[in-house]
Amino acid sequence: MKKEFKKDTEINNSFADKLDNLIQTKIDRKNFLKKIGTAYAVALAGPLIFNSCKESDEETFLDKLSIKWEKAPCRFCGVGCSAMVGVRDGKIVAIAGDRKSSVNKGLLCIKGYHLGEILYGEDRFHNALIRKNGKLVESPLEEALTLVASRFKESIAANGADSVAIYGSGQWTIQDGYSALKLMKGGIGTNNIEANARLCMASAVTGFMTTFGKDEPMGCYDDLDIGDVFVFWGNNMAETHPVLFSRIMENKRINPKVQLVDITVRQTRTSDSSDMVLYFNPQSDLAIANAIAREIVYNNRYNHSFVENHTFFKSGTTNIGFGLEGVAEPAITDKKNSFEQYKKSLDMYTLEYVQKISGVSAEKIQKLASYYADPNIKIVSLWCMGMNQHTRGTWINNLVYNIHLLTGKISQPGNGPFSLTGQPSACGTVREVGTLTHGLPAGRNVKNPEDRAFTENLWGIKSGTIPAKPSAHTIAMFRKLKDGKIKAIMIQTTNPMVTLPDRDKFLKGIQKNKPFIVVCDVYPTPTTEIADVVLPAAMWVERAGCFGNSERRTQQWNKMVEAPGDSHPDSWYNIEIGRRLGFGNLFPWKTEEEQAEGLYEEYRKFTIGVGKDIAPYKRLQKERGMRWPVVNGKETLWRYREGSDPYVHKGEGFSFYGNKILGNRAVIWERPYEAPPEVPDSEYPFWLCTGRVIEHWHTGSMTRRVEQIHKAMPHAYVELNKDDAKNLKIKNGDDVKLTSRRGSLVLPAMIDGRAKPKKGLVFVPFFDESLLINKLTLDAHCPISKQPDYKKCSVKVERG
Amino acid sequence: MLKLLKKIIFKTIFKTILFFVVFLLSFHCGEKNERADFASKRLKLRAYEGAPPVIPHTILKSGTHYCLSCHTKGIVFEKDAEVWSKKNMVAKITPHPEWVNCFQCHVPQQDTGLFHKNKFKTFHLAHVKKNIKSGEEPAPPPMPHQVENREKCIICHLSKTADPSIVPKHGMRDGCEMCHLPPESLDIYLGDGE
Ligand code: SF4
Repeated sequence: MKKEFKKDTEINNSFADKLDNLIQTKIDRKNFLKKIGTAYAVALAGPLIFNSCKESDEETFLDKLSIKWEKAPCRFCGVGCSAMVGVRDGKIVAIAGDRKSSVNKGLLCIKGYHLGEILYGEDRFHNALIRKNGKLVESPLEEALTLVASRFKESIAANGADSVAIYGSGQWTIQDGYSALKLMKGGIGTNNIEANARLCMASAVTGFMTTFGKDEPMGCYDDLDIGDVFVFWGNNMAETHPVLFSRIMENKRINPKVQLVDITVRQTRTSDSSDMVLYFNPQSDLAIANAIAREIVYNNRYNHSFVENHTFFKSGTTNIGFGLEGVAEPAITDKKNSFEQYKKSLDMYTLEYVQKISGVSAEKIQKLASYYADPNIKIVSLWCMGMNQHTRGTWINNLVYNIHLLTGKISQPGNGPFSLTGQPSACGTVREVGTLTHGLPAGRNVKNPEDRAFTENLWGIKSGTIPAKPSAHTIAMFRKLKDGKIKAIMIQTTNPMVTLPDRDKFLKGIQKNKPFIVVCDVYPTPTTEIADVVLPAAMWVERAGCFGNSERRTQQWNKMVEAPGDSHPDSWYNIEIGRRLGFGNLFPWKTEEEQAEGLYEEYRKFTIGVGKDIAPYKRLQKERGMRWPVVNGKETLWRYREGSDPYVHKGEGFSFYGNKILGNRAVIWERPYEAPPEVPDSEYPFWLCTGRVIEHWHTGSMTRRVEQIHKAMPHAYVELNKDDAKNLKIKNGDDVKLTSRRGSLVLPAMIDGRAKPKKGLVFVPFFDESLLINKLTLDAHCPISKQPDYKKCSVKVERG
Repeated sequence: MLKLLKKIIFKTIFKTILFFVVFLLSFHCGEKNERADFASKRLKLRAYEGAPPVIPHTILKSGTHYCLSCHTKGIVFEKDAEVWSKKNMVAKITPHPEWVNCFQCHVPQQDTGLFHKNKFKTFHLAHVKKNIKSGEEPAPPPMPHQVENREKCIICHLSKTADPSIVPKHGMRDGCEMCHLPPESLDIYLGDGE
């Protein structure tokens, strides 16, 4: 072997020069495909020539390889890559990136490439499980459904409609979310519906609503190919939105002008690729954003005509608390501000002052401010959990919008703020369908009588069915569940026993008060452990469905393989349970296929004419998704700008039509810096920040069952700063004990690994159900969005 | 009876001859086992044919851009074998040096057990070979894999880091895709129907 090897290398060396040339030139894909086309014609002629040799009873080479390929959006993150799913003999055998999709242009990430395996974990649920004598036992589906319906009915009869609840997910399809919403608000008549997107996107929503009056980004992923400067506000995009990060890196490769700026608390893979890194103290992002605004305003570098014609100034209640249990929250109001007042409020955020709070040098803040201010630089701000999981999440969203509004760098190609999402349909389902306690489809709100009437009318239900008052946001819902006020809950496609902050508090309460818990899922998780009934779910391409990604793109996929055993889609369960509760008339669709199209098309009626117009189901079957508003069959790339958004009238230039009462202007908010509820002290001297790694999706219940991914990242760890580790005499791989006021956990140390936290901060990923970091986190949240802050609490660090 | 026997003998001889013909026509390179070995070695590093390979070595340095220092031009470790645990280790030339966020798709593997077993099954390149029947597969052989991100055939098949079992005996010729087609079913997503 070795000998031959040498020979071959000799042969190859003779081609070295030519090869080198060829390797260095980037292949022209289109040409390549054309050549393949020609070659294909030759292939068709092949069998004719060799026909006499054909053995008809044998499979041909091509047949044997005949994998049927069909598109589906990735099951995992909010990027919404399109994957080609290869199916043979009723099973997924391969995955490929979809080069027809403009989202990912043929690329996927490690999670996406292993989509196929998540269906085939050996411990997948095939049957319904019912808890009998303390144990979950396999039971007929009919028995499980009857039990669920009767327990819900009993609870409603005895304790009212608000004693039952549904907790869903940003991984719900549009159909799942819409059927759950219709069942709860239109059937049972309660606003007890929430979704885990509350834990990841709520601040983004309230940020959009308070500034623009309408949810979701104005820009799209095309900005990533066009922009000159990209600012990551606490977003490790290289790991959390890898395909989009590669788009930026591709832009940088072609255009040397491109600069990346990372604002972060740890040196991540994103920082490694960045040109400027701002290491800041947790929570001081509020001060940095104000300092940038101050630089722009006080140096008179703001866009006068844009500010004059398209913005409106406001200020709101300050010292709004942290939503802690048992602490009364102040009423939050707002009032009109003037430019002068706003300018005065910025006065204190001098470079020197902010340098002191944030630990970021004045020069760096100034440089970043000049990027934002320079009219010749196209700039995109990107963020995700860093800004959203924040006790001032709404405020920091507002503050970044302020900068873009002051400079008028918004709604234009390569210019604009871009709020990224974590889950595949946090936007499409939770935010657009409105599966939150206050929500109704397409941006409507239960508090608004017209919205309720419109919805009741479209659903053909009695007026007054939908309660006018929102009931409980996620944290409040689980507080009620643990306190025994909610008696029965259905949890679908999510894993709250891993993701809730201060998890053990909730678990103990649930074990004490024993509410009836139904879980729809595919694998055993800590949440199915507390379930009374487990309904086996059909996942991803085992059913037809739709997702909506971060850039307003709605994508559809067809069913490609059969789900195991008795498994069904969540939407099917919602409909079946609805029928058993007497709401069958709300769901006239019979087969799963009819349900997928029927639910979508009915929901689509809500979206028409309100700026969220989604494309017809049949159209989406042919497209790689379309970005709403889709008007006259055309998608919208940049909202709020004339010529690009069909909702902006001629002559308006820009129109933030979500704020009709403010004359279609966007709001520039006065939002101060305020300290977080728990800061390191002598007893708990370290910051604890939690987050994600590229390999695992959410709580790892799917990705950990993929061999290649599990072996790459088998368990959680704690990242320590090198100097801190040295002081504590901790070496790489040593056991480290973390203790917060709520719990403690022992994990292996990672020092100088893939990321390096700044001094005084430790980082732990949350995917590992056996090393549950959420036993330590605090359930403090943004009082406006009710989204918890998983990024900041204080801990003690010891050798374990 | 005799007729049947004759038919069987004839068929066997016919098949044997054809086997060699196909063998010679289809695989101008290396021995049968070598190729099969290579195919199974390949699949050990991948979840399925077409998946990005895992990283078969430990990462010497953390940080994203170190990978390309070896994998841009490729290294064949022969003399420096003691640096590496295995002899003849090759740092393959990446077929897509333009993508620099390497860990987006490629991850190193730790020596841990499984979290839970998985029943996912894929096809194997060696099977492809077995299933090539006489005559149906006129030489030259089609590409037995997808070409996404691997459009530059020569990098894997002809460069200094190419595995000898997949180096064509006809050596360097331009335009591989003029004679070797990608498999039909994969073409569905490859082609734009032009
Ligand atoms: S996980 Fe996200 S980035 Fe990765 S393939 Fe899926 S959608 Fe794309």
